[in-house]
Amino acid sequence: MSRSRPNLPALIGAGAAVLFGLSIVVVAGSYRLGTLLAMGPGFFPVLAGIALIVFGVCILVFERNVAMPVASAVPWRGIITIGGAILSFALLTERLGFVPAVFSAAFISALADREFPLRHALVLASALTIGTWAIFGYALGLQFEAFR
Amino acid sequence: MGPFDNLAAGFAIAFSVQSLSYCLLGVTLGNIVGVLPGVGILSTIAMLLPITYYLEPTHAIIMLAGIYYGAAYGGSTASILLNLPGTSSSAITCLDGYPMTKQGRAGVALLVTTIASFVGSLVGLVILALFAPPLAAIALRFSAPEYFSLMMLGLIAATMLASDVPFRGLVMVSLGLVFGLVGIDVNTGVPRFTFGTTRLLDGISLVAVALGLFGLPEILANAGSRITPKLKAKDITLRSMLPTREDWRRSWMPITRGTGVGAFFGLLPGTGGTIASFMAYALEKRVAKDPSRFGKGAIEGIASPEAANNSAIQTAFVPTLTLGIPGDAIMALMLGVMMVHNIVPGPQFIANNGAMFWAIVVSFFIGSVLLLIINIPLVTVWVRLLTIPYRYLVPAITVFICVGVYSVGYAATDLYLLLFFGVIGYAAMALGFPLAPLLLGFVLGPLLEENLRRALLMSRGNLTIFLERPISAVVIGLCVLLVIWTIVAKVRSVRAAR
Repeated sequence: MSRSRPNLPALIGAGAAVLFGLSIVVVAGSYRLGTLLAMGPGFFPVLAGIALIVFGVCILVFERNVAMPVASAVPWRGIITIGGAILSFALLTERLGFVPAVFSAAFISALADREFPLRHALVLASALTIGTWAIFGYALGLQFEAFR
Repeated sequence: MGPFDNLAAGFAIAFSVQSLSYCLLGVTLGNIVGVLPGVGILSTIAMLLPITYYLEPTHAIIMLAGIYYGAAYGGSTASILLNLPGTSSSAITCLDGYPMTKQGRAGVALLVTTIASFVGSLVGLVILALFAPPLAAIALRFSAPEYFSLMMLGLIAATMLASDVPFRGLVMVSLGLVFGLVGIDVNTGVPRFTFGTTRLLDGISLVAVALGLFGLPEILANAGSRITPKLKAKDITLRSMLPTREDWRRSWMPITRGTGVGAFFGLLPGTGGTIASFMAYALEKRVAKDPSRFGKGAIEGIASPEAANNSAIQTAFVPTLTLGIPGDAIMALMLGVMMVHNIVPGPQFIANNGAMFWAIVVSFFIGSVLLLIINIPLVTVWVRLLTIPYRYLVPAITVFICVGVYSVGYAATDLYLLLFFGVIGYAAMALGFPLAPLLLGFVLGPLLEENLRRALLMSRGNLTIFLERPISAVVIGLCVLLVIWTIVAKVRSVRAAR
């Protein structure tokens, strides 16, 4: 078998590890390192950063040719809808309150499935809003502002 | 305070109405989660973590642990009926379970795996009850250097044993360490990696990391998929579940062997149910008189792995509770839960919280019995569950994740962190990097630093303390051996491939 081509995911991953490790060492180095006897705040993080660099290099040395799982297509619709749902919750919950946030998160994430009829999605979102309010707000007593 | 006082107290706590309810809730939920492919144990436990903050720690652990071993019971259901593993530790059950379904023996397969799981659980928890207290007594003599070495061993074992890409795992552990260090350094009061924001001073929320890393990529992978079982619920009657005498004869030895394999791998830090089930299957195949039957519906091929993964789960609590060394990501979460409640797992745990320890052990027993009762008549319910289209679950899970993460600190920052770790989780999976080591590094990072600091203080800055103290030296020796062995194995396999 001839020399296998370098594995792109491995290269990217190892490269990212090394770069990130370097930046950690730089940032942590600005914290006081201290001595072995009196470890400063930067000591352990620098060690961790060095570990990242070392292991990143090890990947390149030892695992360059490991066969990787077949990459399936990127689920864009899922990423946008579910990510968007979480973002909407984050933005709405502090501005408009719990109920709008939950409803919007439920509705937007329902859109992840291409074939979900809109009406059903609205019903599900409403049911979920009532349900989570019942479970978290009432049964567990967590304090949420329903509407701001 | 006699030795049996704690046991008695534990019994009383475990049989209290509240404990029983949480146990039932946990195992039922776990069973459902295990049955449903696409909803993971780790994500479920992470989603319920914020709720457990409001519970008594004993109840929290009873419920979360119930989810864990309940899922191990349920995971085989989807494997057998759909050829789709409900949990990773049940993946190997597909190989012989699904052929059995095709042969019309689904009921038998389900019953045998339930019984195998029960036996495995029982033996596992007996081992837990017998071994944990003496081990904790020995470990009471441990101090910072031993803890540090043991944690290193746990981390190294977890990353190097469990996958064929150990260095990727080590990168992820290091990354987890870094994230774990974000926040104020307790010893010096210096904020680290906070970049000026006040939100990060307390560190990154465990729930955000766990759910972002595991939960989000999981939903993403499964959103939009459709699963339809070919089996109707009414096809599985109680009578059809009865195995023949031949089946019993063939099953009891595999169950025994599987239980043993599982107990071994559960005790070892770094390995757990999944490896145990694979090893048990391999052992059965090697020991069988006619290995060609495997893959075509051999009952040994489902009995042994299921016994193994349940016994591994129970015994995995031994290193977690006695030494504070989590064997896998889920145990790391349990550790996180305990720490939030200010309970420090480790040798002190059994000494200081004896009643709680026994309450947990007894509730494991109760939970196993409950699962046996639930699974046999309710199999038809589980089958019907499998027909729920995933599209109804996605919004529910998303909302639970949002509310759960937000409820911990009422900070939108946690949600942004959730998304951040979701990106990392997805990128890691796409690049072939294992995720569990990151969570392990995240949970253990601050503890590692603390113990290193203390050990060096004890030795006045002298690094040789780790080798001077015998236990620590042995453990470090094991670490080194492990690393060397992994490298040698890698080099050999690379050479063989040429």
